Amino acid sequence: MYMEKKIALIQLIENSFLISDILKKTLLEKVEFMKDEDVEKIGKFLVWERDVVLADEEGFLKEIDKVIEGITE
Amino acid sequence: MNKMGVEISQEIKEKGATLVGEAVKRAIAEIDKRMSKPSGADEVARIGFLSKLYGAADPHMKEIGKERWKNAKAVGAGVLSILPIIGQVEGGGVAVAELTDAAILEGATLAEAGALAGGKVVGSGGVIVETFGKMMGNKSLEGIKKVMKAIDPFEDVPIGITSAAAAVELLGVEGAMVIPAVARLGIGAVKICKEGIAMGKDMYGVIKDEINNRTKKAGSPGMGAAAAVFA
Repeated sequence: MYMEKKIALIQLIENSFLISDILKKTLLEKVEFMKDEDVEKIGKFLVWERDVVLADEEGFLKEIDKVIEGITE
Repeated sequence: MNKMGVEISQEIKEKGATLVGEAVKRAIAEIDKRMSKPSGADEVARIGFLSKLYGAADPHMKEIGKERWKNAKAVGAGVLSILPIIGQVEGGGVAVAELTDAAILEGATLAEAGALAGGKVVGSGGVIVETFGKMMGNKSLEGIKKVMKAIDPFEDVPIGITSAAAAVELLGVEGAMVIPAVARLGIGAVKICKEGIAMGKDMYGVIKDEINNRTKKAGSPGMGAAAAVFA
C-alpha cells in the first residue's frame, strides 16, 4: 500500500498544473525517502488541484484564452 | 459582496487597485534587475513544458534576442500558473501547513518555514501586503501569504506582488491575479508580440497544446486511479 501511494504521488506531481517545474523536480527526487505523512499531505493537495481543474475544464480553458488574448493584443 | 462573503466597499476597491498598480511597478523594476543577472533556476525551469516553448522560440531567436526569450518563458509559466491559484484563493480551504511542508521540500530553510507558519511577511513586497492586510483583516490575508510563498508560482516576482494581487482578487476585483503573470513579463513583453508575431503564434500554440494535454491527462483513468489512492 505504501509503495502504491508513492507511485500515485509521482503521477500527481508530474501532472500538476500548480507547482513549478523546479519544485516538481525537487519533489520527485525526494519521493522515495518521503515520510508517510508527507506523502499523504502532498497527495491530498494535488488531488484537490486536479479536482479544481476538472470541475470547470471548459471555463479553465476559456480563461486561459482570455489571458493570452490580453497579452497579445 | 465577493464569493467569500466579504463586503466590498468602493473605497476598498479603489485602494486595492492603487496597491496593485504600485505592486506592478515594483515587480517590473525587480524583474529588470533579475533579468540582467539570470540565475541557475532559469536553466532548470526549461525542463518539461518550457523546453517545448523554447523549441518554438528557437527558430526566431536571432530575430527576438535572448532577453526576450526570458520574457516569453515567463509568459508561458505565468499563464499556466494563474487559474489554479484563483480557484485556491476563492475556495479558501487549503491547509496551509501542508503547503509549508512543500516549501520545506522545495529547499526553504527551517527558519523560513517557521516564519511562514508564524504568519510573518517574507519577501520584498511585504509592505504592500501588510498595508492591504490592515484593510481586510489580517486573518485571511495571512493564509494567502503562506499559500503564495509556499507554492511560489511566479518565481521571478516578489512574493508581495502575488500576495497583494491575490488579496485584491479575494475582494472581488476580477482578473487581479493576472497581474503577477503580466508583471513577470517585464517591460519588453509587448514588443515580443508586436515585433515577433510569428514567434508569438508558435509559442501560444505550444502553451495551448500543453494546457489541453494536461487537462486531458488530469481526467484520464490513470490519473483517476492515482487520485483515488488519496481519497
